[in-house]
Amino acid sequence: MRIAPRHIVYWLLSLGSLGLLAFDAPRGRLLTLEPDRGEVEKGTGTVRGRPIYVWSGGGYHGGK
Amino acid sequence: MNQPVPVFRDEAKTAALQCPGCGAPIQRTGFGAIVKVVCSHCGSELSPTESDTLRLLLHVQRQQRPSVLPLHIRGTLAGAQWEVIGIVWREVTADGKVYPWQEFLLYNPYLGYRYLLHFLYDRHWALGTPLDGAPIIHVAQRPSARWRQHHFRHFQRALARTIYVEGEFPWQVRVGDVVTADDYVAPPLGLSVEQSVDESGTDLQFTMMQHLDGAEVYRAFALAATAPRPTMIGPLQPNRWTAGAALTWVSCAVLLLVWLVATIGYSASRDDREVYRGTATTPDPISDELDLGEVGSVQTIAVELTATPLSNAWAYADVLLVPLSGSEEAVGVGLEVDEWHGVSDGESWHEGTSHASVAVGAVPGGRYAIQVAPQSGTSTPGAPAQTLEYTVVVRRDVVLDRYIMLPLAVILGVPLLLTLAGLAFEGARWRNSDYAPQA
Repeated sequence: MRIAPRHIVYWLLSLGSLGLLAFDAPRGRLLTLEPDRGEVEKGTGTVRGRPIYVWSGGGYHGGK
Repeated sequence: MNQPVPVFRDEAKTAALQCPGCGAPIQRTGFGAIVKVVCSHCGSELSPTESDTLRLLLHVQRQQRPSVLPLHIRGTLAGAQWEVIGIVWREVTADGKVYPWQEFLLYNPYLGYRYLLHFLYDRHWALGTPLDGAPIIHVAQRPSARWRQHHFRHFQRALARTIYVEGEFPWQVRVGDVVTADDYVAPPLGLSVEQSVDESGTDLQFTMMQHLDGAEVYRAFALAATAPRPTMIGPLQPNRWTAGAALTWVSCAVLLLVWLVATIGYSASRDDREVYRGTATTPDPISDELDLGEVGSVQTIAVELTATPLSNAWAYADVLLVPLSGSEEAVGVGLEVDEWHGVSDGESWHEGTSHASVAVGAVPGGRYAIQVAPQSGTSTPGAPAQTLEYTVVVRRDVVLDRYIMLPLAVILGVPLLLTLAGLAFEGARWRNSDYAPQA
Protein backbone atom coordinates (compact mmCIF):
# COMPACT_ATOMS: atom_id res chain seq x y z
CA MET A 1 0.00 0.00 0.00
CA ARG A 2 1.48 3.30 -1.09
CA ILE A 3 1.29 6.25 1.28
CA ALA A 4 -0.07 9.34 -0.44
CA PRO A 5 -0.08 12.91 0.87
CA ARG A 6 -3.81 12.62 1.49
CA HIS A 7 -3.13 9.77 3.93
CA ILE A 8 -0.72 11.94 5.88
CA VAL A 9 -3.23 14.81 5.97
CA TYR A 10 -5.92 12.39 7.12
CA TRP A 11 -3.74 11.00 9.89
CA LEU A 12 -2.73 14.47 11.07
CA LEU A 13 -6.33 15.70 11.16
CA SER A 14 -7.53 12.59 12.95
CA LEU A 15 -4.71 12.55 15.48
CA GLY A 16 -5.15 16.29 16.05
CA SER A 17 -8.83 15.89 16.86
CA LEU A 18 -8.05 12.84 19.02
CA GLY A 19 -5.46 14.96 20.78
CA LEU A 20 -8.16 17.50 21.59
CA LEU A 21 -10.28 14.71 23.04
CA ALA A 22 -7.43 13.32 25.10
CA PHE A 23 -5.83 16.49 26.37
CA ASP A 24 -8.19 19.45 26.09
CA ALA A 25 -11.62 17.94 26.67
CA PRO A 26 -11.22 17.68 30.49
CA ARG A 27 -10.64 21.43 30.72
CA GLY A 28 -12.60 22.55 27.68
CA ARG A 29 -10.37 25.46 26.74
CA LEU A 30 -10.88 25.31 22.96
CA LEU A 31 -14.20 23.80 21.94
CA THR A 32 -16.56 25.47 24.38
CA LEU A 33 -18.29 28.74 23.78
CA GLU A 34 -16.40 31.48 25.47
CA PRO A 35 -18.74 32.87 28.15
CA ASP A 36 -18.91 36.50 29.07
CA ARG A 37 -16.11 37.17 31.50
CA GLY A 38 -15.32 40.37 33.25
CA GLU A 39 -14.91 42.29 36.45
CA VAL A 40 -17.91 42.78 38.73
CA GLU A 41 -18.54 45.09 41.59
CA LYS A 42 -21.02 45.03 44.42
CA GLY A 43 -24.15 47.02 43.77
CA THR A 44 -26.47 48.61 46.24
CA GLY A 45 -28.83 46.40 48.18
CA THR A 46 -28.78 42.73 49.01
CA VAL A 47 -30.69 39.54 48.23
CA ARG A 48 -31.30 37.46 51.33
CA GLY A 49 -28.32 39.14 52.91
CA ARG A 50 -25.99 38.56 50.00
CA PRO A 51 -24.56 41.33 47.87
CA ILE A 52 -25.85 42.07 44.39
CA TYR A 53 -23.12 41.97 41.75
CA VAL A 54 -23.13 44.13 38.64
CA TRP A 55 -20.74 44.15 35.72
CA SER A 56 -18.22 46.90 35.89
CA GLY A 57 -17.06 46.60 32.28
CA GLY A 58 -16.66 44.34 29.29
CA GLY A 59 -19.16 43.14 26.77
CA TYR A 60 -21.65 41.54 29.11
CA HIS A 61 -24.65 43.63 29.98
CA GLY A 62 -27.18 41.02 30.98
CA GLY A 63 -30.89 40.89 30.37
CA LYS A 64 -32.86 40.37 27.21
CA MET B 1 36.03 2.30 -20.70
CA ASN B 2 32.92 0.47 -21.91
CA GLN B 3 30.80 2.27 -24.43
CA PRO B 4 27.05 1.62 -24.38
CA VAL B 5 25.93 -0.71 -27.14
CA PRO B 6 23.63 1.24 -29.47
CA VAL B 7 20.18 -0.26 -29.82
CA PHE B 8 19.57 1.10 -33.31
CA ARG B 9 21.77 1.05 -36.30
CA ASP B 10 23.24 4.25 -37.56
CA GLU B 11 20.94 6.68 -39.23
CA ALA B 12 20.02 5.46 -42.69
CA LYS B 13 21.47 7.32 -45.62
CA THR B 14 18.66 9.30 -47.11
CA ALA B 15 19.89 8.57 -50.58
CA ALA B 16 19.58 4.83 -50.06
CA LEU B 17 15.85 4.63 -50.83
CA GLN B 18 13.59 6.94 -52.73
CA CYS B 19 9.86 7.04 -53.04
CA PRO B 20 8.96 5.88 -56.55
CA GLY B 21 6.00 8.22 -56.39
CA CYS B 22 7.63 11.53 -55.49
CA GLY B 23 11.35 10.82 -55.21
CA ALA B 24 11.53 11.85 -51.58
CA PRO B 25 14.00 10.00 -49.36
CA ILE B 26 12.49 7.21 -47.27
CA GLN B 27 14.12 5.92 -44.12
CA ARG B 28 13.65 2.22 -43.39
CA THR B 29 13.74 0.99 -39.80
CA GLY B 30 11.40 -1.95 -39.38
CA PHE B 31 13.04 -4.29 -41.90
CA GLY B 32 11.73 -7.84 -42.35
CA ALA B 33 8.30 -7.59 -40.74
CA ILE B 34 7.28 -4.53 -42.70
CA VAL B 35 4.63 -5.22 -45.36
CA LYS B 36 3.55 -1.66 -46.13
CA VAL B 37 5.44 1.60 -46.43
CA VAL B 38 3.54 4.85 -46.85
CA CYS B 39 5.61 7.79 -48.04
CA SER B 40 5.36 10.53 -45.47
CA HIS B 41 5.76 13.18 -48.16
CA CYS B 42 3.22 12.19 -50.81
CA GLY B 43 1.30 9.34 -49.18
CA SER B 44 2.06 6.81 -51.93
CA GLU B 45 1.64 3.24 -50.80
CA LEU B 46 4.78 1.19 -51.28
CA SER B 47 5.82 -2.39 -50.76
CA PRO B 48 9.32 -3.47 -49.73
CA THR B 49 11.02 -5.85 -52.16
CA GLU B 50 13.67 -8.50 -51.64
CA SER B 51 16.22 -6.29 -53.32
CA ASP B 52 15.63 -3.63 -50.63
CA THR B 53 13.87 -1.30 -52.99
CA LEU B 54 10.32 -0.02 -52.82
CA ARG B 55 7.63 -1.01 -55.28
CA LEU B 56 4.86 1.46 -55.93
CA LEU B 57 1.47 -0.01 -54.97
CA LEU B 58 -0.68 3.08 -55.10
CA HIS B 59 0.36 6.48 -56.27
CA VAL B 60 -1.05 9.18 -54.01
CA GLN B 61 -0.50 12.89 -53.94
CA ARG B 62 -1.24 14.41 -50.61
CA GLN B 63 0.64 16.72 -48.32
CA GLN B 64 2.32 15.59 -45.14
CA ARG B 65 0.36 16.55 -42.03
CA PRO B 66 2.06 17.36 -38.74
CA SER B 67 1.44 14.91 -35.90
CA VAL B 68 2.09 15.42 -32.21
CA LEU B 69 5.18 13.20 -32.59
CA PRO B 70 7.15 13.24 -35.84
CA LEU B 71 8.18 10.14 -37.73
CA HIS B 72 11.46 8.56 -36.56
CA ILE B 73 11.59 10.39 -33.27
CA ARG B 74 13.06 8.23 -30.50
CA GLY B 75 12.22 8.11 -26.84
CA THR B 76 12.34 5.92 -23.75
CA LEU B 77 9.03 4.57 -22.52
CA ALA B 78 8.41 1.73 -20.08
CA GLY B 79 12.16 1.27 -19.67
CA ALA B 80 12.97 0.74 -23.34
CA GLN B 81 13.98 2.90 -26.25
CA TRP B 82 11.47 3.17 -29.06
CA GLU B 83 11.35 4.79 -32.47
CA VAL B 84 8.21 6.04 -34.14
CA ILE B 85 8.19 4.24 -37.49
CA GLY B 86 4.55 4.69 -38.44
CA ILE B 87 1.75 7.15 -37.81
CA VAL B 88 -1.96 6.50 -38.25
CA TRP B 89 -4.71 9.00 -37.67
CA ARG B 90 -8.07 7.51 -36.87
CA GLU B 91 -11.43 8.74 -35.73
CA VAL B 92 -14.84 7.59 -34.64
CA THR B 93 -18.10 9.44 -35.02
CA ALA B 94 -20.74 9.30 -32.31
CA ASP B 95 -23.91 11.35 -32.09
CA GLY B 96 -22.68 13.44 -34.99
CA LYS B 97 -19.47 14.37 -33.22
CA VAL B 98 -16.03 13.28 -34.44
CA TYR B 99 -13.51 11.92 -31.94
CA PRO B 100 -10.03 11.80 -33.55
CA TRP B 101 -6.81 10.33 -32.24
CA GLN B 102 -3.29 9.67 -33.48
CA GLU B 103 -1.58 6.30 -33.22
CA PHE B 104 2.19 6.09 -33.27
CA LEU B 105 3.71 2.74 -34.13
CA LEU B 106 6.75 2.30 -31.87
CA TYR B 107 9.51 -0.11 -32.77
CA ASN B 108 12.34 -1.65 -30.82
CA PRO B 109 14.37 -4.34 -32.61
CA TYR B 110 14.44 -6.52 -29.46
CA LEU B 111 10.94 -5.92 -28.14
CA GLY B 112 8.93 -5.52 -31.32
CA TYR B 113 6.04 -3.10 -31.67
CA ARG B 114 3.97 -0.95 -29.37
CA TYR B 115 1.21 1.53 -30.06
CA LEU B 116 1.29 4.98 -28.53
CA LEU B 117 -2.11 6.64 -28.73
CA HIS B 118 -2.88 10.31 -28.30
CA PHE B 119 -6.56 11.14 -28.09
CA LEU B 120 -6.98 14.60 -29.54
CA TYR B 121 -10.49 15.09 -28.14
CA ASP B 122 -9.50 14.74 -24.48
CA ARG B 123 -5.67 14.96 -24.68
CA HIS B 124 -5.08 11.67 -22.91
CA TRP B 125 -2.32 9.22 -23.85
CA ALA B 126 -2.14 5.43 -23.75
CA LEU B 127 0.45 2.80 -24.56
CA GLY B 128 -0.76 -0.34 -26.32
CA THR B 129 0.92 -3.75 -26.26
CA PRO B 130 -0.28 -6.59 -28.52
CA LEU B 131 -1.58 -9.52 -26.49
CA ASP B 132 0.13 -12.86 -26.89
CA GLY B 133 -3.21 -14.61 -26.65
CA ALA B 134 -6.93 -13.96 -26.66
CA PRO B 135 -8.91 -12.63 -23.71
CA ILE B 136 -12.11 -14.25 -22.51
CA ILE B 137 -15.03 -12.14 -23.63
CA HIS B 138 -18.31 -12.48 -21.74
CA VAL B 139 -21.07 -11.48 -24.08
CA ALA B 140 -23.97 -10.04 -22.15
CA GLN B 141 -26.13 -6.96 -22.04
CA ARG B 142 -23.07 -5.31 -20.58
CA PRO B 143 -20.08 -7.31 -21.86
CA SER B 144 -16.92 -7.84 -19.90
CA ALA B 145 -13.52 -9.34 -20.63
CA ARG B 146 -10.86 -11.16 -18.68
CA TRP B 147 -7.18 -11.33 -19.50
CA ARG B 148 -5.11 -13.20 -16.92
CA GLN B 149 -5.79 -11.52 -13.57
CA HIS B 150 -7.39 -8.43 -15.08
CA HIS B 151 -11.15 -8.01 -15.38
CA PHE B 152 -12.39 -5.39 -17.82
CA ARG B 153 -15.79 -3.78 -18.26
CA HIS B 154 -17.03 -2.88 -21.69
CA PHE B 155 -16.87 0.87 -22.23
CA GLN B 156 -17.89 1.53 -25.80
CA ARG B 157 -18.16 0.16 -29.31
CA ALA B 158 -17.49 2.31 -32.35
CA LEU B 159 -16.44 2.16 -35.97
CA ALA B 160 -12.88 3.45 -36.20
CA ARG B 161 -11.89 4.88 -39.55
CA THR B 162 -8.34 5.50 -40.75
CA ILE B 163 -7.94 9.00 -42.15
CA TYR B 164 -4.17 9.47 -42.49
CA VAL B 165 -1.12 7.20 -42.74
CA GLU B 166 2.62 7.64 -43.02
CA GLY B 167 5.64 5.42 -42.32
CA GLU B 168 6.22 1.67 -42.12
CA PHE B 169 3.77 -0.94 -40.93
CA PRO B 170 3.83 -4.68 -40.34
CA TRP B 171 0.23 -4.91 -41.52
CA GLN B 172 -1.72 -3.70 -44.49
CA VAL B 173 -3.04 -0.26 -43.71
CA ARG B 174 -4.82 2.19 -45.94
CA VAL B 175 -6.71 5.43 -45.60
CA GLY B 176 -10.39 4.57 -45.40
CA ASP B 177 -9.92 1.32 -43.48
CA VAL B 178 -12.77 0.76 -41.03
CA VAL B 179 -12.70 -1.59 -38.05
CA THR B 180 -15.17 -2.28 -35.27
CA ALA B 181 -13.45 -1.26 -32.06
CA ASP B 182 -14.60 -2.48 -28.64
CA ASP B 183 -12.96 -0.82 -25.68
CA TYR B 184 -12.93 -2.48 -22.27
CA VAL B 185 -11.59 -0.66 -19.23
CA ALA B 186 -10.05 -1.47 -15.87
CA PRO B 187 -8.26 1.86 -15.22
CA PRO B 188 -5.43 2.48 -15.68
CA LEU B 189 -5.55 -0.55 -17.99
CA GLY B 190 -7.73 -1.13 -20.98
CA LEU B 191 -8.36 -3.82 -23.54
CA SER B 192 -8.95 -2.94 -27.16
CA VAL B 193 -10.58 -5.47 -29.45
CA GLU B 194 -10.56 -4.49 -33.11
CA GLN B 195 -12.44 -6.53 -35.64
CA SER B 196 -12.07 -6.11 -39.37
CA VAL B 197 -13.73 -8.12 -42.10
CA ASP B 198 -12.46 -8.51 -45.64
CA GLU B 199 -12.63 -11.06 -48.41
CA SER B 200 -10.16 -13.31 -46.59
CA GLY B 201 -12.24 -13.47 -43.42
CA THR B 202 -12.44 -11.79 -40.02
CA ASP B 203 -9.36 -10.44 -38.33
CA LEU B 204 -9.27 -9.78 -34.57
CA GLN B 205 -6.62 -7.67 -32.88
CA PHE B 206 -6.29 -7.65 -29.09
CA THR B 207 -4.27 -4.89 -27.49
CA MET B 208 -3.61 -4.20 -23.82
CA MET B 209 -3.71 -0.47 -23.17
CA GLN B 210 -2.20 1.47 -20.31
CA HIS B 211 -2.93 5.08 -19.48
CA LEU B 212 0.06 7.41 -19.72
CA ASP B 213 0.51 10.86 -18.33
CA GLY B 214 1.06 13.42 -21.08
CA ALA B 215 4.04 14.91 -19.26
CA GLU B 216 5.65 11.46 -19.15
CA VAL B 217 5.33 11.13 -22.93
CA TYR B 218 6.72 14.60 -23.51
CA ARG B 219 9.68 13.80 -21.25
CA ALA B 220 10.22 10.44 -22.96
CA PHE B 221 10.55 12.04 -26.38
CA ALA B 222 12.28 15.18 -25.10
CA LEU B 223 9.63 17.47 -26.51
CA ALA B 224 10.29 21.09 -25.69
CA ALA B 225 6.66 22.06 -25.15
CA THR B 226 4.56 21.37 -22.08
CA ALA B 227 2.02 18.58 -22.38
CA PRO B 228 -1.50 20.02 -22.60
CA ARG B 229 -3.74 19.14 -19.68
CA PRO B 230 -6.56 16.69 -20.41
CA THR B 231 -9.88 18.36 -21.01
CA MET B 232 -12.04 15.62 -19.55
CA ILE B 233 -11.83 12.38 -17.60
CA GLY B 234 -10.45 9.69 -19.87
CA PRO B 235 -11.69 6.09 -20.06
CA LEU B 236 -8.35 4.81 -18.70
CA GLN B 237 -7.50 7.70 -16.41
CA PRO B 238 -6.71 6.45 -12.89
CA ASN B 239 -9.23 7.53 -10.29
CA ARG B 240 -7.12 9.67 -7.99
CA TRP B 241 -9.79 9.71 -5.30
CA THR B 242 -9.87 5.96 -4.85
CA ALA B 243 -6.09 5.50 -5.13
CA GLY B 244 -4.90 4.15 -1.78
CA ALA B 245 -8.47 3.52 -0.61
CA ALA B 246 -7.45 0.32 1.16
CA LEU B 247 -4.90 2.17 3.29
CA THR B 248 -7.45 4.89 4.01
CA TRP B 249 -10.04 2.42 5.29
CA VAL B 250 -7.47 0.44 7.29
CA SER B 251 -6.39 3.74 8.85
CA CYS B 252 -10.03 4.54 9.51
CA ALA B 253 -10.53 1.24 11.37
CA VAL B 254 -7.43 1.78 13.52
CA LEU B 255 -8.33 5.39 14.27
CA LEU B 256 -11.88 4.38 15.20
CA LEU B 257 -10.43 1.95 17.72
CA VAL B 258 -8.24 4.70 19.18
CA TRP B 259 -11.25 7.03 19.26
CA LEU B 260 -13.35 4.43 21.09
CA VAL B 261 -10.68 3.92 23.75
CA ALA B 262 -10.17 7.67 24.15
CA THR B 263 -13.92 8.29 24.39
CA ILE B 264 -14.41 5.63 27.05
CA GLY B 265 -11.43 6.97 28.99
CA TYR B 266 -12.63 10.56 28.76
CA SER B 267 -16.24 9.82 29.72
CA ALA B 268 -15.35 7.46 32.56
CA SER B 269 -12.96 9.91 34.17
CA ARG B 270 -15.45 12.80 34.37
CA ASP B 271 -17.08 13.62 37.71
CA ASP B 272 -20.17 15.15 36.10
CA ARG B 273 -21.22 16.18 39.60
CA GLU B 274 -24.11 18.49 40.45
CA VAL B 275 -22.64 21.23 42.62
CA TYR B 276 -25.65 23.52 42.84
CA ARG B 277 -29.42 23.39 42.49
CA GLY B 278 -31.57 26.39 43.24
CA THR B 279 -35.29 26.95 42.74
CA ALA B 280 -37.29 30.17 42.89
CA THR B 281 -40.28 31.85 41.28
CA THR B 282 -40.06 34.69 38.84
CA PRO B 283 -39.24 37.51 39.20
CA ASP B 284 -37.37 36.66 42.42
CA PRO B 285 -33.60 36.40 41.92
CA ILE B 286 -31.34 33.71 43.34
CA SER B 287 -28.21 34.55 45.26
CA ASP B 288 -26.17 31.75 46.77
CA GLU B 289 -22.74 30.18 46.93
CA LEU B 290 -21.28 27.03 45.38
CA ASP B 291 -18.02 25.11 45.21
CA LEU B 292 -16.40 24.44 41.82
CA GLY B 293 -13.59 22.14 42.94
CA GLU B 294 -10.12 22.82 44.16
CA VAL B 295 -8.45 26.16 43.73
CA GLY B 296 -5.96 25.91 40.89
CA SER B 297 -7.95 23.33 38.93
CA VAL B 298 -9.61 24.13 35.62
CA GLN B 299 -12.74 22.37 34.46
CA THR B 300 -15.86 22.44 32.38
CA ILE B 301 -19.21 23.32 33.88
CA ALA B 302 -22.77 23.04 32.63
CA VAL B 303 -25.43 25.55 33.66
CA GLU B 304 -29.04 24.40 33.18
CA LEU B 305 -32.33 26.26 33.40
CA THR B 306 -35.79 24.73 33.72
CA ALA B 307 -38.99 26.76 34.01
CA THR B 308 -42.58 25.55 34.57
CA PRO B 309 -45.39 25.89 33.73
CA LEU B 310 -44.56 27.43 30.35
CA SER B 311 -47.52 28.03 28.09
CA ASN B 312 -47.06 30.45 25.20
CA ALA B 313 -44.43 32.12 27.33
CA TRP B 314 -40.70 32.52 27.71
CA ALA B 315 -38.26 32.77 30.57
CA TYR B 316 -34.72 34.04 30.57
CA ALA B 317 -32.07 33.91 33.27
CA ASP B 318 -28.81 35.76 33.64
CA VAL B 319 -26.53 33.49 35.63
CA LEU B 320 -23.50 35.17 37.13
CA LEU B 321 -20.70 33.23 38.81
CA VAL B 322 -18.47 35.48 40.88
CA PRO B 323 -15.29 34.02 42.37
CA LEU B 324 -15.24 34.77 46.05
CA SER B 325 -11.45 34.81 46.09
CA GLY B 326 -11.64 37.99 44.05
CA SER B 327 -8.69 36.97 41.96
CA GLU B 328 -10.61 35.72 38.94
CA GLU B 329 -13.01 37.28 36.52
CA ALA B 330 -16.70 36.60 36.90
CA VAL B 331 -18.43 34.31 34.41
CA GLY B 332 -21.82 35.20 32.99
CA VAL B 333 -24.12 33.08 30.84
CA GLY B 334 -27.64 33.63 29.58
CA LEU B 335 -30.20 30.86 29.21
CA GLU B 336 -33.61 31.03 27.62
CA VAL B 337 -36.52 28.61 27.59
CA ASP B 338 -39.85 29.04 25.85
CA GLU B 339 -42.93 27.12 24.86
CA TRP B 340 -45.36 27.98 22.09
CA HIS B 341 -48.38 26.15 20.80
CA GLY B 342 -51.50 26.82 18.82
CA VAL B 343 -53.63 25.69 15.89
CA SER B 344 -52.99 26.68 12.28
CA ASP B 345 -55.11 25.52 9.35
CA GLY B 346 -56.77 22.96 11.54
CA GLU B 347 -53.42 21.50 12.64
CA SER B 348 -52.18 21.91 16.16
CA TRP B 349 -48.52 22.76 16.58
CA HIS B 350 -46.07 22.93 19.40
CA GLU B 351 -42.52 24.19 19.66
CA GLY B 352 -39.94 25.30 22.18
CA THR B 353 -38.48 23.68 25.24
CA SER B 354 -38.70 24.18 28.98
CA HIS B 355 -35.09 23.14 29.53
CA ALA B 356 -31.86 24.82 28.38
CA SER B 357 -28.23 24.03 29.04
CA VAL B 358 -24.96 25.87 28.36
CA ALA B 359 -21.50 24.35 28.70
CA VAL B 360 -18.61 26.57 29.68
CA GLY B 361 -14.98 25.58 29.51
CA ALA B 362 -11.82 26.61 31.32
CA VAL B 363 -13.55 27.67 34.56
CA PRO B 364 -11.07 27.95 37.44
CA GLY B 365 -11.88 25.99 40.56
CA GLY B 366 -12.77 27.59 43.89
CA ARG B 367 -15.72 28.99 45.76
CA TYR B 368 -18.16 31.15 43.83
CA ALA B 369 -21.18 33.29 44.43
CA ILE B 370 -24.02 32.49 42.06
CA GLN B 371 -26.52 35.18 41.15
CA VAL B 372 -29.52 34.45 38.95
CA ALA B 373 -31.69 37.25 37.60
CA PRO B 374 -34.81 35.84 35.87
CA GLN B 375 -37.14 37.47 33.39
CA SER B 376 -40.30 36.11 31.79
CA GLY B 377 -43.02 37.11 29.41
CA THR B 378 -45.92 35.90 27.28
CA SER B 379 -46.94 36.12 23.67
CA THR B 380 -49.44 38.85 24.41
CA PRO B 381 -47.88 42.33 24.36
CA GLY B 382 -48.57 44.23 27.54
CA ALA B 383 -50.00 41.21 29.34
CA PRO B 384 -48.71 40.59 32.87
CA ALA B 385 -45.91 38.04 33.04
CA GLN B 386 -46.77 34.57 34.32
CA THR B 387 -45.34 33.51 37.61
CA LEU B 388 -43.00 30.65 36.79
CA GLU B 389 -41.08 28.30 38.97
CA TYR B 390 -37.57 28.08 37.67
CA THR B 391 -34.64 25.90 38.63
CA VAL B 392 -30.96 26.51 37.97
CA VAL B 393 -28.53 23.59 38.14
CA VAL B 394 -24.74 23.79 37.91
CA ARG B 395 -22.68 20.67 37.24
CA ARG B 396 -18.91 20.54 37.09
CA ASP B 397 -16.47 18.36 35.13
CA VAL B 398 -19.09 17.48 32.55
CA VAL B 399 -18.68 15.46 29.35
CA LEU B 400 -18.64 17.71 26.29
CA ASP B 401 -20.06 15.79 23.33
CA ARG B 402 -18.35 18.07 20.81
CA TYR B 403 -14.95 16.74 21.83
CA ILE B 404 -16.20 13.23 21.13
CA MET B 405 -18.00 14.03 17.89
CA LEU B 406 -15.24 16.10 16.26
CA PRO B 407 -12.70 13.24 15.91
CA LEU B 408 -15.48 10.87 14.91
CA ALA B 409 -16.52 13.27 12.15
CA VAL B 410 -12.93 13.57 10.92
CA ILE B 411 -12.16 9.85 11.11
CA LEU B 412 -15.32 8.82 9.27
CA GLY B 413 -15.84 11.94 7.21
CA VAL B 414 -12.56 11.96 5.28
CA PRO B 415 -12.89 8.39 3.91
CA LEU B 416 -16.56 8.99 3.12
CA LEU B 417 -15.77 12.23 1.28
CA LEU B 418 -13.00 10.48 -0.68
CA THR B 419 -15.43 7.69 -1.55
CA LEU B 420 -18.05 10.17 -2.74
CA ALA B 421 -15.44 12.03 -4.81
CA GLY B 422 -14.35 8.71 -6.31
CA LEU B 423 -17.93 7.85 -7.21
CA ALA B 424 -18.39 11.25 -8.81
CA PHE B 425 -15.19 10.70 -10.80
CA GLU B 426 -16.45 7.33 -12.05
CA GLY B 427 -19.78 8.88 -12.92
CA ALA B 428 -18.01 11.45 -15.08
CA ARG B 429 -15.93 8.71 -16.70
CA TRP B 430 -18.91 6.56 -17.60
CA ARG B 431 -20.96 9.48 -18.88
CA ASN B 432 -18.74 9.23 -21.98
CA SER B 433 -19.41 5.53 -22.47
CA ASP B 434 -22.13 3.51 -24.14
CA TYR B 435 -23.59 3.06 -20.66
CA ALA B 436 -24.10 6.68 -19.73
CA PRO B 437 -27.20 7.18 -17.61
CA GLN B 438 -30.05 8.50 -19.67
CA ALA B 439 -30.95 12.10 -18.95
